Amino acid sequence: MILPWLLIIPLAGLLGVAVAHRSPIAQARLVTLMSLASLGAGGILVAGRPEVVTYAVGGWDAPLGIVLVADDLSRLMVLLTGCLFVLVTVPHGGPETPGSSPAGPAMTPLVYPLLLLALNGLFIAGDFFNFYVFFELVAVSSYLLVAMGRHWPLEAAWKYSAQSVLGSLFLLAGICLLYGRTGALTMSEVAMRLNEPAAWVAPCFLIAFLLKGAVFPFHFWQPDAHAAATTGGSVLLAGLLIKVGMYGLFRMWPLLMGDSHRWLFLWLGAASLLFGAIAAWRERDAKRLLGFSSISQLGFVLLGLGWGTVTALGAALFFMVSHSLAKALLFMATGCITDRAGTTRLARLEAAGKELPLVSAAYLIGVLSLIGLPPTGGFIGKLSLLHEGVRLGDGVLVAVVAGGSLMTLAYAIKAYQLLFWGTPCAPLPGRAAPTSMVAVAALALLVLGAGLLPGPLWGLCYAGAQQLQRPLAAVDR
Amino acid sequence: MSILLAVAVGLLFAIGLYQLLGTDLLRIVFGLYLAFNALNLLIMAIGTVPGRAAPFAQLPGPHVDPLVQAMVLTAIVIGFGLATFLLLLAARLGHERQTLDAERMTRWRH
Repeated sequence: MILPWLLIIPLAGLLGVAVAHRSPIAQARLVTLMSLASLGAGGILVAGRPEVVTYAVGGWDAPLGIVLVADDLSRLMVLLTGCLFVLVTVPHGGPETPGSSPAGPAMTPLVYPLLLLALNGLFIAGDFFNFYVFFELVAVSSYLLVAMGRHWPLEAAWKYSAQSVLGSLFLLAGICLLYGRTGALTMSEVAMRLNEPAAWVAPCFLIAFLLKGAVFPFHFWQPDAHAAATTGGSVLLAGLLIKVGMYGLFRMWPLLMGDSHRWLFLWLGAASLLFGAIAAWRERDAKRLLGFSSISQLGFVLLGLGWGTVTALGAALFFMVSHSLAKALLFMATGCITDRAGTTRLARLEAAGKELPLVSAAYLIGVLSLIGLPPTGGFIGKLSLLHEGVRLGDGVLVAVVAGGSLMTLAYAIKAYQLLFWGTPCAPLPGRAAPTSMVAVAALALLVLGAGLLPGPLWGLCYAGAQQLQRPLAAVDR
Repeated sequence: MSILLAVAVGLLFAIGLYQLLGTDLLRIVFGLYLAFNALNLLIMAIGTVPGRAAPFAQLPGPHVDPLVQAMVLTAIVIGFGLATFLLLLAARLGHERQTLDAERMTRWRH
């Protein structure tokens, strides 16, 4: 019975924020309260493991009505969403959000409940059309998130939305074709009625999710959007929104395609990995560098999807979650510096973070997790991925992974060195906001926790992967 | 009937996507909107069977699929909303840069 609350809480938050538009402080408190409540609901959902929870909206059952379904993958994503929302909205949801947006300051806090509603709904959608509607809602609220940014926000929002609309067009086309063939929209029902891999809709889903996830040939919007958004916006973009594309692939590909055409992800993953790393190395902007790095890191996740065994899928999910946490941490730490310095160009940020030991340590932890070194979550994820690759005897790709990790080492350490070593040209103006320091410290602890105590997270990821491999049982009521 | 619909969907979709290749922002928005409408037509085509009654309980006989009609309504609204948002964004961007041509916009920035 917890499932509908995942939608009711952000809806109530949306209403509250809209009503309280005269008082930015009340709005900020409401947004934080809503995020905490959603995290709590996510916690209750996870505590209800291991059964697959379903809820028929309005009492109408599956073939006619709409079902909400939460298996372990949904639980993982809902929990991650709650965590990141709390950590973002505590320091950034409130009136101290710097930079007035073109939509007016009263609009800005509305984005958070909208986005939370969309993400929660997407992760527990049990039928394709609902999935599409929530996917679209996620997209629109993330356009707003980018358009309210500060560094050429309109241009970045245009690039993002024009390309992303094309992606949702293809998703709708794919869902329609699927309905035309099977006559069902509930995911379990469609999977049951398909006798063979649905290769004829695969391109539609592939384009939609790769565009959303900003994987190599579809990545053009991503660095601009990351650089344009405010600190909180970048954290959500990198931590959750590009993962929505990955979630779609994890959810749909085993369901519709089974084991066929998995090699596609191996090529895409390897290309994305190498391209992102090279582009990040050449980048001269602190936030765009992190954006290109996301392109590269999602390549690892795609490799896991391409190998496709339960362990590989579980490792890919684990790596994806630890990448979310690490990238959120890096954006948050970078934001602590760039928001005060007023620029994101690395050349003008030389040693700017030298006087912030906590931020420096947190950035280093994030960098370690990106590279995949202990004691961070990235290490566990990458090690299990590599181990599975070696077990499957895929020598070339294991070499690519190792090379990609070395390149990550190069660009991440370069960024760290530029930001925190040497002699600062000028002291940072203003002073550190205590709330963002708390958020940075909490994220750093989460990244370390995923590496030091990986058991519970690994269990959740592995169970999620197992349910993906048996898609019928997973989404069946 | 279904061949006519298939040709119309294909043609509209192709024209819409072709518009994306230009540099004019307005053309891109209208291209996307055209492609969205092609898809709406596709959804309709999936549920339209000649000779069946409209999905009203009062009408006799085998009805067409009502779910398709619900879906197409949602899709129309979503497409319309997205097109409005894109138009607004293009207008703001055009106001900022004093042009709607993507190439000249890039030059404005440098």
